[in-house]
Amino acid sequence: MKKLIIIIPFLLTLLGLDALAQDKYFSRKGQIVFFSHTPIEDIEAINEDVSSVMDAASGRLEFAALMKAFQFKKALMQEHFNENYVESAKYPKAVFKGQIMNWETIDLSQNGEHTVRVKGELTIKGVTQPLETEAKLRVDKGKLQSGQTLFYLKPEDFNIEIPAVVRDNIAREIEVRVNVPYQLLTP
Amino acid sequence: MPMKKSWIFLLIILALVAAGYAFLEYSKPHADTATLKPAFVLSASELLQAYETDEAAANARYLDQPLEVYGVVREVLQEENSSSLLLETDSMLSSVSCNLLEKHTQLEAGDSVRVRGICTGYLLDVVLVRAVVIEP
Repeated sequence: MKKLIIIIPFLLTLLGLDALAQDKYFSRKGQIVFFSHTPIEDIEAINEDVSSVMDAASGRLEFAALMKAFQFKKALMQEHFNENYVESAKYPKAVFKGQIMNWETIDLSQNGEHTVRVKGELTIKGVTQPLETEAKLRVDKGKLQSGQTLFYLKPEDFNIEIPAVVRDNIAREIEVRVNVPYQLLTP
Repeated sequence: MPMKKSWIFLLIILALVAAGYAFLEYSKPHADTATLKPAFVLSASELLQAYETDEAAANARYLDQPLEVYGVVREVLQEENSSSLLLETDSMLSSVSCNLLEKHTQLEAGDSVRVRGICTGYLLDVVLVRAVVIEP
């Protein structure tokens, strides 16, 4: 009996049936959009160079974004964002490390959209906060194709001080839209 | 009474100049990477090597600087709204990623290029944004 317990998973791996669960996915062109809406103005910053790794075996999920890669329409706003608000020279990256909850219940062999909950820690400007959000994973042809999520952040939670003179130009809660195309990390 | 008038006049001029300056600052354009003189000219391999060796030192040197990077295209990535060039380096996984200002459809893997962009740091790759192809 003991021998069977060892041999069967081994055989399954040989057959490739377990292959999907062992895959690591990555992205170097993930997109994160910061959007602030106020009656005075809308401000949007787009980062198209976000990297991410997803481990299909464990459901672990990581993102990293370079603060300097957030692009604003207005050069002056980008300058203020980098120099005054997030101090990107001192804190060049924003990082999220987390876990897809109840990963065992998610069947990646099913094509279509999977709604999941992601829980982890987000670090911006050297400050780490817990983050939990709903996300959608799109699976096609038996592979993870992309992931999307939307959540809100308060600048003060990350020590980002908005000067009183422009406080009404920036939303109290910034909308964060994430859209990441994934590909298999081939060893 | 003539004295007061000229003071008011001066104040108005100053206010207009200040407003004009503020407006110019507010609407100033992003750095034009095509015409901006690069702070450094180096190969994609050299740039990646610098970051792999000592990221903090590399950032102190290159972060936010306009760089001119030359090398061979490893891969051309086409997204919905943009294209990127991944430049060949000594690493199999990492490269220099150039997020191009304008979509490029002519370039292919294997082409030799010279690209100018603003360095934003290092994740999986060294990332340049607002990148412009100088050669070919």
